[in-house]
Amino acid sequence: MTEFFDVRSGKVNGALVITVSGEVDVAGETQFVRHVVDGVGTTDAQRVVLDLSRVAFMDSTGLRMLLLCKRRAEERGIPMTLSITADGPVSRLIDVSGVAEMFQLERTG
Amino acid sequence: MTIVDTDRIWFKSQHGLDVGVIGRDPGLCASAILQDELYLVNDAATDPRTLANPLVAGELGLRFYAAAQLTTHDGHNLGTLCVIDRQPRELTESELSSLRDLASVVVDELELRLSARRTVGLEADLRHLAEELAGTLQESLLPTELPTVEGIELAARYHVAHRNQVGGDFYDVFLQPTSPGCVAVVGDVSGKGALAASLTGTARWALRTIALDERAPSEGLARLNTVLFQAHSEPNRYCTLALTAIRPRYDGGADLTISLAGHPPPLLVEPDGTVERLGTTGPIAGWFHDPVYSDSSRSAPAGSVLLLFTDGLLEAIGGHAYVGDEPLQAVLRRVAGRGASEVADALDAALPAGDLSDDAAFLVIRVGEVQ
Repeated sequence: MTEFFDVRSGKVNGALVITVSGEVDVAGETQFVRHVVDGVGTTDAQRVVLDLSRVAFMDSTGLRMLLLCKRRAEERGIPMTLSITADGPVSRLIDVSGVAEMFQLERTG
Repeated sequence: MTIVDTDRIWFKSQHGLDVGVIGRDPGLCASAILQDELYLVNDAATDPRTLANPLVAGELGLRFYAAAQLTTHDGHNLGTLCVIDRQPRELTESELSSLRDLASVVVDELELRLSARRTVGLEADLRHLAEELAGTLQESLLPTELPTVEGIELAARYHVAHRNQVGGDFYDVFLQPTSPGCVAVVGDVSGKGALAASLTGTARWALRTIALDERAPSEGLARLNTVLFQAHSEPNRYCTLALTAIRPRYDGGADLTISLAGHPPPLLVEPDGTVERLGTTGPIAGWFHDPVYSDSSRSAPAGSVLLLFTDGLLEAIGGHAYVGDEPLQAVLRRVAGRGASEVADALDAALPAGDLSDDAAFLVIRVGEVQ
């Protein structure tokens, strides 16, 4: 069974920090758009950090969501960083998809 | 409560009486449904309509009968809600009105059940139609049969996770006008349903067109990216692909050239059981303006098997949320040197029983003459 993901967000030193945990796939698409993509698209913060280090699984829907976040952040002219686990599922997805260069990545051990 | 058909009166619900079904002839309900007003017999023994009736003159000794018709909203009298007694009785206007009200409650219940049954039937029809449409659409997005290619043996499988939804996985194999061998592709469009299907169709046919010019796979992907980037009406979609040119050699082996667009690397299984990932990662197709793709070339000895697959296969074989290819490699190692169909069967056998959580497609390309 798909375990739903959880989103928490808050401001730390002027940065919008959105922490996502659990599994991000097609089942949670609407939720992700509402809580994460739209969050990035409407923030008045100076920069955005997506903390994905606790994501257990992410599929192509999740990647599309990350790309949408990136687009929203660019539209607002604010930098966005993805915080991910070095050998975790998000790292792997981003590497296989050949989009690592398109993101500012913070890989933690 | 009775229902009256051509020949019989069915007592569907009753209190103080134990009757299942009687013939229509002696029944008072049969007379009652022929009129539209309350059918009221205050004393059946003296009423000319009923005094000769066997229920009145016989053992039952019925004296009082009042029936409200069960009239459907389109005007059919189905039966009655009736009260009877062995004593003659008079009913007040409010008692008569209660009987009418109760009868209409019965009709509402009946029609509600009927409409619920119709709705369930309609829903089943719609689901069937959706499955049929999804199946038809899916077929139009996949080759009806794989081509015959000299020096190569092919097998393909497609496992759909949800029957009523068109998946985003696809594969194709096509020949080029002037080169030996073929071009093979496996791809995965982000998302599901009609939007994914339209992008799948665009990608598949654009690739076939692009491949008419004999370009390197990396160039094919770059051109496909341009087509998808400019063309697809729904923005924010992309697709991942593994595009491979397979050129058989005279020694029975083949030269492979592979380019990847955000896709898990294909696996090459040599006859001795060595498994190797092929290709260099390039960006997903259709999202970025000007991505760069590169080619990787590899010579494969006769008897090698190249497996192109979508990530649904990794999860299906590795287990939920597992995206590594090691379990898949282990399955492949066990069938090194075998024919294409045998390898495909082994992969099918490694899939879990029951529904998959994601679609899984794969293409087995065996180098060397068909055994």
